[in-house]
Amino acid sequence: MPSLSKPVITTLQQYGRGLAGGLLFSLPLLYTMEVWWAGSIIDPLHLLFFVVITFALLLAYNYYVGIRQNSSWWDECMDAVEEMGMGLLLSALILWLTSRVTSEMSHVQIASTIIIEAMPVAIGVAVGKVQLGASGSGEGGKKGHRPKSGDRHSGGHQNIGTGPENARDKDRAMGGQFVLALLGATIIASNVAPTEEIVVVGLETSAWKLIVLALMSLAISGTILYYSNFHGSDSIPKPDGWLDVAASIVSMYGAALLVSSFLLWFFHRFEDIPLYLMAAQTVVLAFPAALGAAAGRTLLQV
Amino acid sequence: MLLAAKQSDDSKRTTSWLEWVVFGVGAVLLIATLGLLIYETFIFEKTPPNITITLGEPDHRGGKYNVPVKAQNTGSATAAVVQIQVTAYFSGGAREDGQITFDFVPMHASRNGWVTFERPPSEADSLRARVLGYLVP
Repeated sequence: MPSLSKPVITTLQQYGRGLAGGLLFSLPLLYTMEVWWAGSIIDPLHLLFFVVITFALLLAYNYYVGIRQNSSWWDECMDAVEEMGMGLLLSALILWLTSRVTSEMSHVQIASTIIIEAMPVAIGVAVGKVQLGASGSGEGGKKGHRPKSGDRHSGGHQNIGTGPENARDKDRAMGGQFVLALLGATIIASNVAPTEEIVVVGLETSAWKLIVLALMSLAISGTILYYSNFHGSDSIPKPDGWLDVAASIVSMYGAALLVSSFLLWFFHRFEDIPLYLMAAQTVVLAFPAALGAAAGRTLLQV
Repeated sequence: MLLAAKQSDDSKRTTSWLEWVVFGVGAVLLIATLGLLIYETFIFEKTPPNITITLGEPDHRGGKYNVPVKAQNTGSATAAVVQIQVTAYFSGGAREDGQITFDFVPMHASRNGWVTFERPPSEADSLRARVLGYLVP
């Protein structure tokens, strides 16, 4: 038994960080009226997509930056299931404490509300487990295969693509960067995605201002990544010229647009409106999402 | 037994019993979630909102006569801005209207409120309630 106590304590510490992260990143959503209402409005098919995509995102995050070293597919799957479970329990607890689920509601509605809120909580749990840990505690995450580290490719571009291992490494690094961008965008954008404000701004802002907003999204996320010495930005691979910078910023804005349009679709914001308004809302939401994507790429890696 | 079984592959990974418990709970919750959503999507029959109103026993407070109103939605879609009118018909053709609006009456759920009257509704010949209209969000 004594030999078991250490893993148990380590596990408990992980869960503690997970709980803190889950609340830290998703409490705004747990306190947002539109999300409570969403529980009785959102189509179960949308919700099913939401759960599946969140699970996939958790798997990908655990694969690229997760807490375990040398982990197998099964370990990552297990972690994702744990994070989902904690997300559901935590969301149920907070919703019950704040009287957002009551006995007056139908079972279906209670379940839907808890599930909607649980997804961002689960992402917060996953991020909290890895990010909130003390550095140097031996749990810093997958040093072996972090997305891409400066020291790994310090040789610059002449190193890349010289062997099959490097090519695979680069694929993994790029995939990891994209997953982090998606995750960061989700964490930031999901806090405002359900609000009416996005609809109102999308409706009332003229097209040229939206274009400026989009350009600003690109500029600020580029600044975060390459020109502001953000914490963790040294682990972003050094660009090979301006074309590389542009490609990287555009792919990140792509992640922001992807996350924004999915979240808006999920909250039924795309129903019975013309294509222009869908695009307008997406650009409005993609501004915070792009900030999240850029910050995610630098801050979320270990 | 579980622990003994785990001991053998400790070299690969240390999984504490606590992790297995959390994993087990998580797996059950996740499967239940997916099961519920699949059931709701493909099997559960969607019906439009259907609001029925039940009036309770009137009471007398603060110089007003108060009638409890309960709106129940038996449909499987949510109704928003549900407007309800309660009318007391007195003998001699006099009538008094009370009105109430519920922001949301979710599917298979009920909401409670009160309408107030100047004259005692208990003296009325009849007290009728009807739903004026609602939105589907």
